[in-house]
Amino acid sequence: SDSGPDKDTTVDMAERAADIQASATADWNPLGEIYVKRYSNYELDWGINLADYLVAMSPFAGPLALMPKQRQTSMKSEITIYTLAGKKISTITWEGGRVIELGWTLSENLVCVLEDGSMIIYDIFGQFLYSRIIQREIQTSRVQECKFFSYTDKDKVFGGFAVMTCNTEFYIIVDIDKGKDEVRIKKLAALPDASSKPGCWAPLCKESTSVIVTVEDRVYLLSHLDATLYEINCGKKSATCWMEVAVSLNGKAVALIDREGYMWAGTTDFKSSDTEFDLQLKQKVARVQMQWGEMDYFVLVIDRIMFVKGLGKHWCKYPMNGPCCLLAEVDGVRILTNTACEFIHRVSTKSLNVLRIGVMEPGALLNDAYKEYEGDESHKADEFVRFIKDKLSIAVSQCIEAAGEEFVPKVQKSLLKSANFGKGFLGSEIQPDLVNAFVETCRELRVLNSVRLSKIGIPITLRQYRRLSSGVFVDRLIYHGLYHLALEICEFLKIPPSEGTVKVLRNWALKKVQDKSMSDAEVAQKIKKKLKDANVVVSYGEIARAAMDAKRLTLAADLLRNEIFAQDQVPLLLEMDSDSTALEKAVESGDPKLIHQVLRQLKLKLTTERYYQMLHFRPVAAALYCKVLKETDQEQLLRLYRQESLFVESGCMYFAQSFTARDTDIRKQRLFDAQKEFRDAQDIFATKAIEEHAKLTTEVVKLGLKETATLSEAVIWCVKNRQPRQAEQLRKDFKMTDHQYWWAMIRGLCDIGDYAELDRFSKQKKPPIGFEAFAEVCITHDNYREAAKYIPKAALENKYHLYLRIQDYSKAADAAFQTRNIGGLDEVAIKAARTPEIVDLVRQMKAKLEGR
Amino acid sequence: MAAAGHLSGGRLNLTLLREAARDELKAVLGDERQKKVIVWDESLIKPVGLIAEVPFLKQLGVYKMVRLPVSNLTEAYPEANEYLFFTKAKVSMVEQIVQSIRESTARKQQTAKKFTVVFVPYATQHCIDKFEEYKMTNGLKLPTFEFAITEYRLETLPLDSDVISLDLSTAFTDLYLQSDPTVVHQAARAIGKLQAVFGLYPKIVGKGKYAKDVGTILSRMHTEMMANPGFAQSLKELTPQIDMVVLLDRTVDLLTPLCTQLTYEGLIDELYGITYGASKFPRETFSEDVQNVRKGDPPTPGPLTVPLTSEEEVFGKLRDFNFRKVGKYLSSEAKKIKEIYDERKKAETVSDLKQFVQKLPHIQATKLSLSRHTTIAELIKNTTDRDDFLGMLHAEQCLREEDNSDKVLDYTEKCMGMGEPVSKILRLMCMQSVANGGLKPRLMEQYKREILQSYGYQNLISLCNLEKAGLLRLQEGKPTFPLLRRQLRLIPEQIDELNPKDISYVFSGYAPLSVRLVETLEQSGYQAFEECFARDLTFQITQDNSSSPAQAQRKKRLPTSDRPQVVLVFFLGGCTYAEISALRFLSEKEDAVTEYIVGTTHIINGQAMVDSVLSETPLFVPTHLWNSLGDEPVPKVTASDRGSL
Repeated sequence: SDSGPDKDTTVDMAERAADIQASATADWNPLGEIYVKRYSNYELDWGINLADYLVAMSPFAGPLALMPKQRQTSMKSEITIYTLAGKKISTITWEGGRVIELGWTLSENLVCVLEDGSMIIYDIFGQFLYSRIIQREIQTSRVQECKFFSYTDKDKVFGGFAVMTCNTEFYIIVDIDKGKDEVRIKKLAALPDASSKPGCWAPLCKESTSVIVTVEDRVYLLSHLDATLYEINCGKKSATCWMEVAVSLNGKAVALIDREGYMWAGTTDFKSSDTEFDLQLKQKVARVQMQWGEMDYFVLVIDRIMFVKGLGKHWCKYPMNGPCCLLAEVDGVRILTNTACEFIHRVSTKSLNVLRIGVMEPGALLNDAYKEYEGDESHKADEFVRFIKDKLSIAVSQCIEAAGEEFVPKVQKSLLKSANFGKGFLGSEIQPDLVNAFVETCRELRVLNSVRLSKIGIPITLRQYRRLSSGVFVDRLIYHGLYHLALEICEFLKIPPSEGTVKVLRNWALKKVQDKSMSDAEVAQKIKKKLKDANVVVSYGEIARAAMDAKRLTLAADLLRNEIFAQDQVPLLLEMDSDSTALEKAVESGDPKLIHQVLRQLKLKLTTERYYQMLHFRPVAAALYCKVLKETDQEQLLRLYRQESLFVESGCMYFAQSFTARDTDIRKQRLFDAQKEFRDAQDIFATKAIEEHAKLTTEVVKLGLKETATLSEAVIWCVKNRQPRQAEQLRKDFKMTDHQYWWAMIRGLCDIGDYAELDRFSKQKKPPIGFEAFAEVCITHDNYREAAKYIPKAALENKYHLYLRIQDYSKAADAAFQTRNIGGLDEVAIKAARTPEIVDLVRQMKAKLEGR
Repeated sequence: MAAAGHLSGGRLNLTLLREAARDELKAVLGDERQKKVIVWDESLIKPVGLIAEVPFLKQLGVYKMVRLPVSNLTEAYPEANEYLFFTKAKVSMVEQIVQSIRESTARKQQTAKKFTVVFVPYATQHCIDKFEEYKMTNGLKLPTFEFAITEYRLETLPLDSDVISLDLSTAFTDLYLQSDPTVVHQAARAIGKLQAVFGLYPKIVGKGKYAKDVGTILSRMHTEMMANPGFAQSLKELTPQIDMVVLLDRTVDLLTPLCTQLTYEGLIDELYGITYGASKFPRETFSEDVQNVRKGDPPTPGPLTVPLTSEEEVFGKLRDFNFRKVGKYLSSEAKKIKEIYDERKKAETVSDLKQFVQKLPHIQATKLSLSRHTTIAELIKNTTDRDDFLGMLHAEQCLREEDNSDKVLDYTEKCMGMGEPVSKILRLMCMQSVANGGLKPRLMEQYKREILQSYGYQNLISLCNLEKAGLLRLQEGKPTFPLLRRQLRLIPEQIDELNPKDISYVFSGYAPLSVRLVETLEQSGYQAFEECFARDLTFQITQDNSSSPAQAQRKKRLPTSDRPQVVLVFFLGGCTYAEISALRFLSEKEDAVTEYIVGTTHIINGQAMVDSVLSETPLFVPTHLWNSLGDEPVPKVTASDRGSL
């Protein structure tokens, strides 16, 4: 019932509301102008005494790691990772060297820094990520102390750790999350007082990271370039010896304390101080823990007392029951004790405006009004509302903001109800921003409340959450394996799928394939169903690859079938030895590059026989392969053609080579090969043609012609060289068609101008190609006179054109007249325009034709 | 931006494509402060030149350009830091490049030289392997030698304000001879990529095997794009500018490209060839002002290159006319110009004169255009008046209009007997085969024998390849063309080439089947388009993007002539200028509700198509153009030259 502010429960009485307010303000502690509030997020019942452990907490309410303090160098031990609610996440068995310090990176990876100068990185599930030597020199000088730091200012978040070696050298280590080889290490300038022992030190991040080191009362700032000594102008008479130093998260404020309880706090350039204060401790203390809250207060733990020190002289204290650990957050300090996980923070102005007793801010009055309304004192409520009428928007906004600051759902709910109540009075005049703020805060609080539940154990505040951004927050949930929650949150916060749902499901699926407790089929079915239900596209190829890496081939194959991008699918299929499917999918995609890729792989992998077999069933792939071979390896192409019984193809190829090959013997061989192929193809025509071709080549060479002469050319040559018998012989031998033989004869005779012979030839028998051909060839030889001899014997319908061409217009007109070709007559009239007799003749003819 | 006025006139702003291509080139060339030498694969000079003119390249740090093969680069241009080889992915080119790099680096270098191979538009694994054989791996860095391989994805080339070409010059044979799926993928990628500029296509329809394959890949790409939330979102925000894509496999209509085109632009392509929006003519036939030389200057050698794009107003009009109309139009326009000049004489007041002077540059440009095109038209007419040309047109007409016409046989045989180019004979044969659904076995054998006897036995390979490409086959079953001829009214009863009422004017009496199909789709809907023929290879895909408000809004309204829909007709395997003209005719009709944009793998004509199939035949010499002048000796290009590559 406490999972969300907008879930309905019955809050009935005014007293209840008043209770809520009382409980919300009960733990406020005044500190000058401000109030601080200590709130216990979780009671811990884990039987741990922190005094015996190295403790590492991580910012933004991240996980917690504990390791028993080692007494001897090489003792078997364990590192345990918990949520802040004390729920165990994982355990790492430790057999390595002595751990100096544990800490967390920004991506919530655990870093163990060892005395021998190495660092080992694990994820929160205790999976080893990498290890490396920080720097060779440190191996010999050994690590003495190590401090983790994080820096948060405006939009920058940055973190790492600093190391002090036994010979008092300092190193800064950052970019740990980027991977083993990307880690950046920076050695800082040497401490001028190298012989004396440093009192305390702390990393300081500003433009660059440096270290503040104190030696007795001196304060040094070591950058990677140089060391600067700072004089602190303090009012203390006797000489101090600083024993602890703390730097704020934004690197702007520093606090120092000495063994007698004298404190100095100011800017990190040590020029101005906000606080100088003496706790006037009775005895010198051995250990102080100190962390900045926000810029106007910091928290100290000395012995069993926790001091909260505000600006000036203000302070307050809380008793502590046992050992504790502190961690600075952006908006407060997290406190871990043996029995609780707590958070101490300044009560924000937002809360003060509404909840402080006696305050007259509009928000407070609105809250009161609602209380009266709830208590059935509606006239009083009315009065209150009327009182703040002009500032109702501010009142609503203040209530919303105050709700955001609260951990307790009941209080959140009460404040949001007040806001909602106020909203009602604004009616349509309400600003859209205010509505958005209300909706947004409701959503966010609902999300935060769900992760704050102790079973999840992330007591993050609204300010921390907003600082982190919803995207990073979802990433964290994914990292923690809280996929279901992450998914719900993505949907609830309406995060765009590509940054939300897709990311979550992708990571979920990548993890799921490693879940050995389920069968391949179950996993596949689960993944497919989930992705389908979510209606988002997640790369199945990537998930399948993960399955393959996890040695689950059946699962991988099953998943891969669902991949829609062929280029993500095919290479993996090849890796999985699903050759045939790979080829099939590549062909389906139609992408030649992909098909080539598969073919290359297959060619290396398979025997030629098997490879050809594969091609046989994929004509598209075969065509592509043939095209490549055509350019590169004709012999192979011929083999393939034969294998595929494409004899016409191979025949043509051999035949072409018989023309192009340089060597005469090869040419002959190729011709022979070609003939064989065509015979295999049962192409009788082609087989015979090649035979004839070979015969013709021999004949023409015998005649003294070039090898490539055609039959027509050979016949024409014979005619021209007055070897009619030879021509006749060729005709017989090669069964030359009558038509082409006659054409060749006519052309040959005209070529040598033997028109007498032409005439004889025309009278030999009725020409199969008509007398037109004679006329035609004569015309092309510009011999119109000879042409004229043959035209009268031509078919009637052809005469007109032929006469026209030899410019015998009167006969052309005649022919046109006979065929009733009026258009033809017109044409003649135009051509013969200069000869009036013909024009006249044409006119008469036309009249005759048209008259009838 | 320079030299791209011709791209911006249409409904879709194709300059966007050019801009994108320029940006990509800029990225490929990198730091403009580096001195660069570009070495060209000859075939890329013109297409890349359409995207980037010389001054632009100069801006990007290119100071010298040479073409392959070259040697001693580093010696010839020692001051360059980087040598870029722009090439198509061909092993033979790779070998030339390897050789020239090795030669250039044989001598000791003082400074580090960078060699970059830029594949246009794609690298193939095969070519990369070839480099690796010579230990040239991408990203190799030695003290004095750096080597890199990259791609310049110039996939779509905007040729004019309504024409996009993928410039895949071998697409036809790749598809139908080699069954190479690369073209299909390249086309799908290019068509898909346009969506990033013009929005998601609400609808894709198509006909033919490869069209279907492209459709399949497109829907696959759609799924993939939608899986990328960022991309999906940006696509959804884009208002779709193209309402439909029609994919046509060239095999759907093989007859049309085999016919001789009779539009002005089509004829120029048939007779002189048009490459990348320009054509070459005999220089001396043009007047001096067209040649841009002063009277009396010594003649410049080589043919005259004339740009042919819609940027020139006169050509923009003429290109789609039937050639018969060209002469009339030119003379009437010339008359108008003369009238305007005459007006000047009448001009009396200063303001009249001023008005005239303002118009003068435009008038002079028009006059020059008219003079140029009058010369071209005369050149064309010289050929079209020839008996052999008319004879061929007559033969083609018979083939289209009569079933199993034997008349053509005599003509074809005569052409063979007269020794005309083999490709012309084969073109006719193919046309006969396509029109009649194949040749009867006896006829086929006779043709084949005669071809081999007249043109040599190596043509056995030509014949095999033509059969493989589906251009030639034995008759079996009922031929579809005669049926379609009636059903789709491909042969009109009347033909008016001067004031056409129908797309059939582009072939003087034959409506190209491909375009008629598109027209059917527009007028009678998908079902009619599907039922025409090849039902099982016809498909329709809707790319649902209903969540996009822009599209939802668009869906609601029906196209009207005020707000026409935009349809991209994409030809796989090439299209002809006549088909483009026919589609333009449909867009420009009075009551047109559709504006067509043409996409194609490349521009073809019948001879080029047949010749491409014959390219594997030994001893074959392309003779495909009637009057082609061949390539002029090209002067070396240096950055100091002005104007386009």
